[in-house]
Amino acid sequence: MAGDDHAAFRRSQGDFDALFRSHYAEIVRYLAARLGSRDDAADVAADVFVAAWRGVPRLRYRGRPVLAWLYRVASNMANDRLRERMREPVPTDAVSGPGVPDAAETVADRDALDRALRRLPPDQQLAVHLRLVEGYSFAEVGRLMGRSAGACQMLVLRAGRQLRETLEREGIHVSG
Amino acid sequence: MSPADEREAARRLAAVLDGAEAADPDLAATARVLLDAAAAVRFDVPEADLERALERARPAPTRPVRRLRPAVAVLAAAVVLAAAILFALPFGSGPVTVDVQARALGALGRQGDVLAVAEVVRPGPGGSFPASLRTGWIEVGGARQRWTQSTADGTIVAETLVDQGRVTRYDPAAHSAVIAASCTALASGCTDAVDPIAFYRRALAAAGPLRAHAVTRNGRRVYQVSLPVQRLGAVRIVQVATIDAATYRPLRIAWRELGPAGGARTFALIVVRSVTVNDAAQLGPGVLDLELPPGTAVTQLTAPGVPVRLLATRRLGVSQARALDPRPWWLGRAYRGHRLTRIDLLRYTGGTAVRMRYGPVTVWSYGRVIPPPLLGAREPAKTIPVAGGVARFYATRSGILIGERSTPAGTVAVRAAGNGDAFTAITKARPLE
Repeated sequence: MAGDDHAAFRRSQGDFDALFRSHYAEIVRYLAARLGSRDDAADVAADVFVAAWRGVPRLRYRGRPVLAWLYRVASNMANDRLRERMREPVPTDAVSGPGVPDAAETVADRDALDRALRRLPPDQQLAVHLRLVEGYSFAEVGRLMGRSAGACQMLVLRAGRQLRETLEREGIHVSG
Repeated sequence: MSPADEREAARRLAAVLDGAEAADPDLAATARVLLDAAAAVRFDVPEADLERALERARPAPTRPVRRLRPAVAVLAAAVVLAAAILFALPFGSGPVTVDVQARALGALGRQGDVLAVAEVVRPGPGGSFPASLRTGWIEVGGARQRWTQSTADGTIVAETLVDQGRVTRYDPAAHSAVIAASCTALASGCTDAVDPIAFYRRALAAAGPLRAHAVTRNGRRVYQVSLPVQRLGAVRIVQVATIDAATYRPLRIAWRELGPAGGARTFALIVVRSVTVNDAAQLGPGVLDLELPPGTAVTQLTAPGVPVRLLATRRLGVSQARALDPRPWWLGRAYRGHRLTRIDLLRYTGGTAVRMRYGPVTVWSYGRVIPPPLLGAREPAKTIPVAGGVARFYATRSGILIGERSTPAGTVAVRAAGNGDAFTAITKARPLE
């Protein structure tokens, strides 16, 4: 099994197109959640692959897929972009949401959810994204994040609590 | 809360997110907010956008020249010389590598043609869904596909039309149809709502040159190629195609699900019985339409991507449930030694569902909104004839088996621990009398 993973890792190191086609969409979704804008996410995602590809040949296999490296680069670039935004504030109406088509009764809640999600610490955001948006198992999330599955479960628990607190501060009560 | 309690809470939340019922309302609320937050940022990236981005991002093909060590340089020169000699020899017997992609794509017609296809879909190693036969029509380069799915004994179990991504699935036995704006709105997922040849053709069109050399398999010269990863709903699929070396038409396609580490497992095998290319103008009208018979009960599913939020839960008695319209389905007052312990009417954004609990078995009746605990199939659904119709079985991401059947008022679904339990329960389910 480890041999298969290693072979897949080596293949990923040699085929930019395959790497891009396999993971571009999920990196865009991750960045859209971090940045709150699909357009920004698409711009940054392309840069992520270009930057990551420069480092890929030097990567050594340590039991983690190349995707873990992509997420790491994406997270760093998202941090950079957010820092840039803080220096040059953008009017809020220029930031398009990453979400779904409008449905009048859910817009307010959805915007609040988007905002609450963006306020989570990056590691919690990543754990939520990998488990609940992309559907990886906690074991897979652990491999991608370089942590144990239990630690990732804890990140998701804390993320859930923080989301609820943030929403409740905005007057949105969530029941199960 | 102690660290041990925290770990336990995290573990229980993980189980709820995997589909387990939440006993604790606080945990259920935390799970709900997480699922809603995830749904709010989940969207598809169109393939055309991906390809455009790839064109822009693709690094230049030239790699930096590295200084070779003398020994390596000598070895490289020897290899080049050997290759030159090999290619210079007349009638050399080495394998001839050709670009299969363009020819294979050309063998499946041109824009405006219509393919008539017949294929058998079988489970991969270890899979359990029965083989099914699909015959249908695919618009080349267009957005319409229509196929009929039947069991090995020829019983038609479903007629499906995909038109501009919108899926209409007609169940002739139940005389009912489900219409979804996209395959992602179907509980049984996208792998069950795409024709394999259409999916193969789409992957071929997106692929660059695919170089392969012919090999002999079962006395036939074939090419075997792996196509770039395609996403089908939540599943990332690599197609390994065996292509006839004479006609360049596909003979067999293996669907391999790709894990995050790049590992893959085969979960479906498509054996192509025939593919013929037809001029659309020569075909009769209606081959790419699905006209629902008069009186068909139609359920239009909620648009995919819209977060389904649980707004309220109301506990009902049997007489209150009986008064609902449409009447929910059940398994009687007791089922296999388990009493009916609870009936809930759940109101979601966009619709309602009724849930009945019998120990480890839960029966759901729903209309246009699929309750989130029933979502998430990764493999093609197993479609099996049962008394009075057909039932589809699929597993959620966490491996929980769901059996569902269409009813004139929507869908009834059974959640159970094992295959046998789900099969028996879905065959026993009936309208609450």
